[in-house]
Amino acid sequence: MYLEKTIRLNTPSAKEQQLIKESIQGNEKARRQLYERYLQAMYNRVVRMVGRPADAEDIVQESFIKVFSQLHRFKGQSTLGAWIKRITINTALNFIRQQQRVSWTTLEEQTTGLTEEREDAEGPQWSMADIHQAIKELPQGCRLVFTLYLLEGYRHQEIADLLGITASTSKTQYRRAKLLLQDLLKQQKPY
Amino acid sequence: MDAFEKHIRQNREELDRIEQPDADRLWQAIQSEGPPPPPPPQQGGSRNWLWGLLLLITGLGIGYLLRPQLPPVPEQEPIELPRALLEEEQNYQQLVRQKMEAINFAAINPTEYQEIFEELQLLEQSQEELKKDLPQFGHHERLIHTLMRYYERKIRILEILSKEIEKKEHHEKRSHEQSI
Repeated sequence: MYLEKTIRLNTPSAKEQQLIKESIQGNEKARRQLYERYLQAMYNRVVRMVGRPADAEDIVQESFIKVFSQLHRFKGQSTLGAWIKRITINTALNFIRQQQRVSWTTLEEQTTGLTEEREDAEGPQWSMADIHQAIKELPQGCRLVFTLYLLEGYRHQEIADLLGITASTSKTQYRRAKLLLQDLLKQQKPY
Repeated sequence: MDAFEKHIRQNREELDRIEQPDADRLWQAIQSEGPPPPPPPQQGGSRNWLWGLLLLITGLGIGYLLRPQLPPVPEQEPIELPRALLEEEQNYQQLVRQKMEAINFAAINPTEYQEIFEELQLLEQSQEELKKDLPQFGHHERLIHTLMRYYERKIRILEILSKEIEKKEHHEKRSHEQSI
């Protein structure tokens, strides 16, 4: 029963399968529909990873080109969204590696003055829009770790492998990101 | 997981709806880049197959009949894009080799210039990943351009390394002179 439910949840719906089939055959309308289904989620993911909207647009554009040229290889073992997400995140990571050096400053360098109490701050007092904006303002290294770990569900060891750092650095950067993020949010909405 | 993390996880999906990109403009850009045409259909039925076979036999027959009058068949041109890529890549590789020889790269102790070597290593990893992607994505122009930019970046890093070596040598020379 559970397995059936899992398979149902993790495979594309009949409508989506039809769109995939037509997209593979080169139907522009079907491609556009698939693009519109996933564009916003992919764009928001990427813009949180890279910060700059223009870079995010370039990455999303390149990702969808890859998606449409590779769609015939999609076998439906995961949802189409998960497959597109994987392509998009890999494209974003390649872009980051190529464009700039990720700086991995130490926790102390950017968290001086931030206290541990802030780590325990209540979550629900900030809107998701505030959180989204604040994530974009984080330094790149810790921002990447934060988005990959908390928002995309990667484990620290996976992040370490992807970014060429150790799992321990990933954990330290994550903690740093969380402290900085809470500090940024408090600056945005003082109370 | 604290309250802050829980709040973000619980409202995760909302985060993906905050910014609205310009869908039309991006779509036009995607179309202008032109995703490769779809692969040829796998199913064509036995009729298509028969037509194909008939055409092949006819073609072979005509070819055989006309064989004595035909000029020698020129060698088939390799696919244009990968060959162009290969030449450009060879040029870049040569430039990289020259830069490396100029600074005697093999003799440099990586620990002395750790950051630069780490960056080079990261760049090479990305380049390898992209090279693996190339055949998979049909040697797309944009990806090839990205690959070439890796070489440009590598050359710039080697130039930075060269300047760092010069600086270090200069510094060592001066401190040696001062000690005398």
